[in-house]
Amino acid sequence: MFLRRLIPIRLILLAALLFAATGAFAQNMSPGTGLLPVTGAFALKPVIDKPGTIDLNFDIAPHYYLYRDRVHAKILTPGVTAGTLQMPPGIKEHDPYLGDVVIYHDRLDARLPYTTQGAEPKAIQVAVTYQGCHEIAPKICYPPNTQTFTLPTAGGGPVGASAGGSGSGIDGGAPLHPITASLATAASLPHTSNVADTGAQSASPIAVGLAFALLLAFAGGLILNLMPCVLPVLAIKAVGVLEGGESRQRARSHALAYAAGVIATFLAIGLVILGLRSAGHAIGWGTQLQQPWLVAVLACVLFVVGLSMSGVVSFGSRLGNLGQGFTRHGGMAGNFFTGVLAVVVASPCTAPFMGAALAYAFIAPPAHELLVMLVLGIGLALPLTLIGLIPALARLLPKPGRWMETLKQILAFPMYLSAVWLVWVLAHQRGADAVALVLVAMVLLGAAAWWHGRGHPGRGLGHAFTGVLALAAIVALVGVAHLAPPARAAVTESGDAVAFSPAKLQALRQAGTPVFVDIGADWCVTCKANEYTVLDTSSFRALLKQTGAVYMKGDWTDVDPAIGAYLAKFHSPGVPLYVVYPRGGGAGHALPTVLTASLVRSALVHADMEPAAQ
Amino acid sequence: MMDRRTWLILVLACLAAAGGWWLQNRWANQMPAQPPAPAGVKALAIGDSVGAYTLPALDGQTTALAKWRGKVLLLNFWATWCQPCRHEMPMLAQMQREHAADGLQVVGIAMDQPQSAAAFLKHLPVGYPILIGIDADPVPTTTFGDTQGLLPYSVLVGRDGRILDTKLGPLDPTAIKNWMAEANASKS
Repeated sequence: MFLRRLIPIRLILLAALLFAATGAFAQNMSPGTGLLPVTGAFALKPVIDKPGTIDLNFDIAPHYYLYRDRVHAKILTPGVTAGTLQMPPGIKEHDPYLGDVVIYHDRLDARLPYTTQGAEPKAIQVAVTYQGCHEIAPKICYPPNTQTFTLPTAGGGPVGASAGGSGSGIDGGAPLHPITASLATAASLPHTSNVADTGAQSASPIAVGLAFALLLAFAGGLILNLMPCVLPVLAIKAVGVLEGGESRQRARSHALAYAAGVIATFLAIGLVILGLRSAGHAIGWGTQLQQPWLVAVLACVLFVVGLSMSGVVSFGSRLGNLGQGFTRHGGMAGNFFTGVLAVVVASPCTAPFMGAALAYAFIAPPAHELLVMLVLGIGLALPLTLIGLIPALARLLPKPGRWMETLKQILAFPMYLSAVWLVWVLAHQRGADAVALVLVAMVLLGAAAWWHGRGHPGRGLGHAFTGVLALAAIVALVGVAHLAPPARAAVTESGDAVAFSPAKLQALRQAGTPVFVDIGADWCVTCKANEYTVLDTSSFRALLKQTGAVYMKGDWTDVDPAIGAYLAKFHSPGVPLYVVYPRGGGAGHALPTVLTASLVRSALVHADMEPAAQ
Repeated sequence: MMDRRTWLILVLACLAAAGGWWLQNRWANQMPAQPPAPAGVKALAIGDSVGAYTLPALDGQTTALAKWRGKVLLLNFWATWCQPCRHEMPMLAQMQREHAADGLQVVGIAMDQPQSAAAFLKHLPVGYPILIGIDADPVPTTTFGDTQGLLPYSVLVGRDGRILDTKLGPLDPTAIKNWMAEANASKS
């Protein structure tokens, strides 16, 4: 009795200590200079799209600018003569010493025409020098930086003197065409990804500091326990703890094994993210759902877990037995993998608070990123671990009985619904063929589980048949990975919205038009909610008309480097991202991920009023 | 009152807190304000002596920093293409006039061609000595810890010739006054 009264005190103590631990991070939090490396502040991507012109596309991070008069390009390949560097009109500023100077924000798409004597060489070497500054504190300027690129040409014939590029119709996000892309790697281009460097350190002040991010991560992890995709898995686990009637020691070691599984998986995800980030990939929470095969696998996992909860197959207990085979500590491996499974099924979900913590993590220094992941894991693992660690807490739970079997079976249905959602996402990504394949895989897995569940002790042939069925399911999933994306109707170019393209955005901004950019994805539940409540309403359309703003929609359901780079510019961990550009071509600012009608109204009305000068 | 399990939880939580704090400090200290200098270039750190470091002056005359030993030396790296640098230079000139008696010596190091620097100084005379850092090898910004060559960059050198502090980005009068107080306190 006394012990029971003690528990809350203990929990409060523990919570206080955890908060103290995170609070210790509050001090001394300035990570480095907060400035991007020069190639991150001014990401230059030169490309020869058509013979006779080198496109020099700079992606300029927010709050950085380039000087027009300090951009120079020189062709180093003998026999190739450079023309005059053509640059779009920029923003005129008055400098007390230099007089009128022209600067560029966000983007600079310059063109260098060239002529060749004789046949066009296979590749052209160009050296580009540029210089720019950071315009908010700390106000600093980068020294002139020169980058040399070896650009594969289209390999055409000689280029006449008349082949100079025209300054108009700049197509900024021009993708490398296949030949260019394959040659580019062979020619050992220095890395010119727009995203590569922006991840390292953030230029614009991040909304949350580390301590706050860790608090959010902890809260987010705790709440993740209640999300529809995770709760059922945990319910089985909790039921297992109750049913087991295990000794205290065993319950404790099982709880710790589970926590280890959760935390290890989160750290593994953290490391994968770091790896991808350093390789220059645009990543974010939910980005994994851009891979159709992963969506298909997750759908199958949810389906099979659902089956085992429905009691159609006694999959769980067998897996547990399997674990027992591996370790003498009785189901330690099984508990570890329950932890892994909890994170796997949680991955499509984002709990409240998690978004902001992840936004911080994805651009924070590696140690901070891993810390956020660790704390997320602690948050997710804590409730069940506590139940295992503190028997008195387990005793507070209702007594095991028949009701638990019923609960388990009821909870199977959210799992099936989650699987349906993922199949829907897949349908958008790869069409009907993919849906058919994943459904076939599910049926095969069901068959395998059923066959396995019938039990064929000591009969190798029976086990082999289970394996064959499972293998066939995997073959079907591999098929999903090989499907080509269907010709997407992208975003409909209706009267309401135009499809996202950096070039079009640039053109609109140069024309001084206010723009509302909306980047979403089919697998993003928040995006759908915002569309339903705000963006798909007649009042939003009326608002667009009233303010004269252009509604530009980007779709990140599939991998898209241009959109990835755009998200990275705004340090967005994923979608949705909403950016409003004011009238007069000023810098855009991002809106919160959860929109309300009044918030959007005030943002658009402000954008309409803002004058050209900042 | 408290049983073994409670103690265990407490100890674990304390360990987690201590571990986190240690990690944080470790990373905060390990994270330099700027990336490390390239291999083979020795960058000076706080506490290092600027010793017999020399640079050419505007007229080409080689000048050793040791010339100002005994003064509080404020090295200010700048260039004509750096707007925030040009913006803070009149303030530095004024601080030089105000604090000359306290032993402050501002020295500008131009990361620019001598002609450009001279033309600018004709337009805006600052009154304190200017050295030319553009041709020195290794680049003086790197030597003084500004490995990316970002400007403006300032280095405070104590009366004993040792680096007391560095600052990336523009200075302000309060920062310089604090630096003077710090330099005078470390005079001992």
